[in-house]
Amino acid sequence: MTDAQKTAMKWQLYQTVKPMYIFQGPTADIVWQPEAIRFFSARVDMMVEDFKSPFIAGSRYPEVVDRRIYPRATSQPFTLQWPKESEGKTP
Amino acid sequence: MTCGTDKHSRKPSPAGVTARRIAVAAFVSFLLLVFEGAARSESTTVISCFENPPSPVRHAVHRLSKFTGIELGKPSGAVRSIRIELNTTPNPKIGTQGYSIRSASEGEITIRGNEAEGAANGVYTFLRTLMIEHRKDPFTRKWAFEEKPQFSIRAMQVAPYRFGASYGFAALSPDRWSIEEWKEYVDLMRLCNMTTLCLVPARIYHPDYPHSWREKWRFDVWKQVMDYCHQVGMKFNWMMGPNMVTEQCFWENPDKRTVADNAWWGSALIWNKSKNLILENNRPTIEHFRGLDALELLASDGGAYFDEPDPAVYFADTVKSYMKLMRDSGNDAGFVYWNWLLDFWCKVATPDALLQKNPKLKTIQDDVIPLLPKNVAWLDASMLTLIQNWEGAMKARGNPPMREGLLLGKEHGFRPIIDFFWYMNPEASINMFPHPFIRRAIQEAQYARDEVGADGAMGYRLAPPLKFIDDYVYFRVTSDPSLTPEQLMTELAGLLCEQSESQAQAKDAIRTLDQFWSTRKLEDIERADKLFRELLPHEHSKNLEYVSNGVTFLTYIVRMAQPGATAAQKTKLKWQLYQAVKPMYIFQGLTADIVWQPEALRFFNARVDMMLEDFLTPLYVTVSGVEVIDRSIYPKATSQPFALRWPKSGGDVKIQPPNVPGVNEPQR
Repeated sequence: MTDAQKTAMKWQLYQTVKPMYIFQGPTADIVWQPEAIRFFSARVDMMVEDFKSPFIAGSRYPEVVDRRIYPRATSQPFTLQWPKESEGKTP
Repeated sequence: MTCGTDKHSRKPSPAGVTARRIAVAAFVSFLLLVFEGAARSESTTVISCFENPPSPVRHAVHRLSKFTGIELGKPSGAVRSIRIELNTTPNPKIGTQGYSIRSASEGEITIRGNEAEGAANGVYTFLRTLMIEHRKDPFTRKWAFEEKPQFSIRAMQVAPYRFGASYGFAALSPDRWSIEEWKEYVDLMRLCNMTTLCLVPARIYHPDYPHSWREKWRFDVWKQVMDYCHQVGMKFNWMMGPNMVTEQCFWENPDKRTVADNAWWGSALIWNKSKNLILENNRPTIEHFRGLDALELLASDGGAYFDEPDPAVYFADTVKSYMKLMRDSGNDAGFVYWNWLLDFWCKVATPDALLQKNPKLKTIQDDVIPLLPKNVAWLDASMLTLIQNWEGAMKARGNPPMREGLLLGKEHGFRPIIDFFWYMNPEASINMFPHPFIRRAIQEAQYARDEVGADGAMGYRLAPPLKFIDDYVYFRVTSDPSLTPEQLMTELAGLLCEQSESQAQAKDAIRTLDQFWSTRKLEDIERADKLFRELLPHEHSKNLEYVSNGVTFLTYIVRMAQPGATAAQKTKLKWQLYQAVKPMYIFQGLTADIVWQPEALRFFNARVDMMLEDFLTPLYVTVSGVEVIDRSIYPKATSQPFALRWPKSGGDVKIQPPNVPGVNEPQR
């Protein structure tokens, strides 16, 4: 994905969501459209960054936690039983 | 004995009580007279004012009294007096707004105007001079002023709308200002004898549209601002796009939205499809600000008229319709028509495809003039401003001969003619930082005076707090275009610093900052930063603090803009910048309006990236000396078509053509 492609996609995205009522803020809260697009693009960049960040994409358990790691709740100290590196990694 | 009685056992007669009371009262009166006389001879100085002065004069006198510590009173018995008087025979040299300030005799200074307005201006000039010279005792210098402001309308347009890197931020942006912050700014304007504050909020509050209620508090504050302007003797105008509606109305009427997707406001409807709806959307604004002094309409910018089959008819109809709406609402305000480089829109800024589609887009400038009522003010930016900003666009469209719009209005009988000093364009992230534009301000003011014969000037500001130097320069040249850079810098240094020994350095700092915007050299901005920062421990001026803070911020942007700066270096600089400005009061919004620091930092970085982009963008890349327009390009203002004589090299900067969203994609 090149920078030019990303820029083109952001412009397409802006045009796509602009008629959507619920996105009126990100697209039009700033009153001059070229400036609104700059702020929109900055927000989209943050979303892309979040989507690619280890916090989101790097978790082995983005949706359901493998209970073998922690089979039963306890108030006693418990060493978490992490799976080996080869297991269960989210791409 | 009549008095040596036992106070517990004898009750005096009523007649005796009365006699004693009279005696005591006489004795007390005697003592008061003695002490008052003594006090008067000790205080020695009073400020006296003509009888029944209006509120603006009283306000001016109170500020003068507060600064000098001199009480108001009657000159009789006083050794020294500052007399504020009206001329019994009008002085033709000073007109309505002018004044004279003279050391009349030993121990007497007179401030005189033909009218109260002029007298108030005289008091403010007197006060400003004392402040600049750090002089509490006015009798320690000779006074010999006789002057009148050059332009009778001296306005500043402040835009509390959602735009630029400053918008929405606590302390920095007027869309978050309390009445106290507004008062400080109005007081500065009044101190410089400005006449008019114009708001362009691009916000609508309408009780029938609940989503607009978020703007109600702003409308309430701005109404207080309007009242305060009137109290101090200034006018309050309101500027807007004529087809703007509330967001809620925009979304409820998909069939009426501007198809051409105009670049402004984001919530405009097509006039010829929804005139009454638009007017009803704006009626509460007109009613809320019933006391406003003029409504200003800008119909042309951003292609907001591309949907209209006959734009000139649309422009003229908005003027007449809003005038009627004002009258129907009991609003007696005047009206300002924004011509806003309409010749340029017809010949350059409108895409050729649209001109082909609707030939009337080519002739709006000539078509609109006979359709407008003559009792409207005519506002436009000058040809110098056009040259400053749209060289590339002009060349891209074959450099068509252009007319000076200000003279066009003048020659067709519109009055007053107001030059919009758009050289100070605040509409970009980088433009929140100090940029004095001293020579450019003088050039525009002299052009407006000598070649246009303009009646008024209007500036433009999004976020004033970092712009004290810029604003002061503009304010002063609207009164006196003959001021030199040296004089302006001396006045500024006096106002920014309390210590006399600081002023030379403050002046050097201002000069270096001004120079930086021509050279764009890192060492210049770093030097200016050092000079300002060194003053802060010894000085207490909030304006100095904010200017210094702004220059510090700018220094980091310039460092990031250096050729060869790597992404890693920029990231590091941004982190250092965040840490540097976090303790600065004026940047609290930028650093901490978002409540989780890692996220605040991301948004901060995004804004800094925009500033950096702006700093490097061709619109702001000036080569040395280009801050002042080369008059060989346009030797003399004329209302006749004139092909600009661009230099072959030097100053031939590539400038991006205007973007028209919906027609061509943004080029950022």
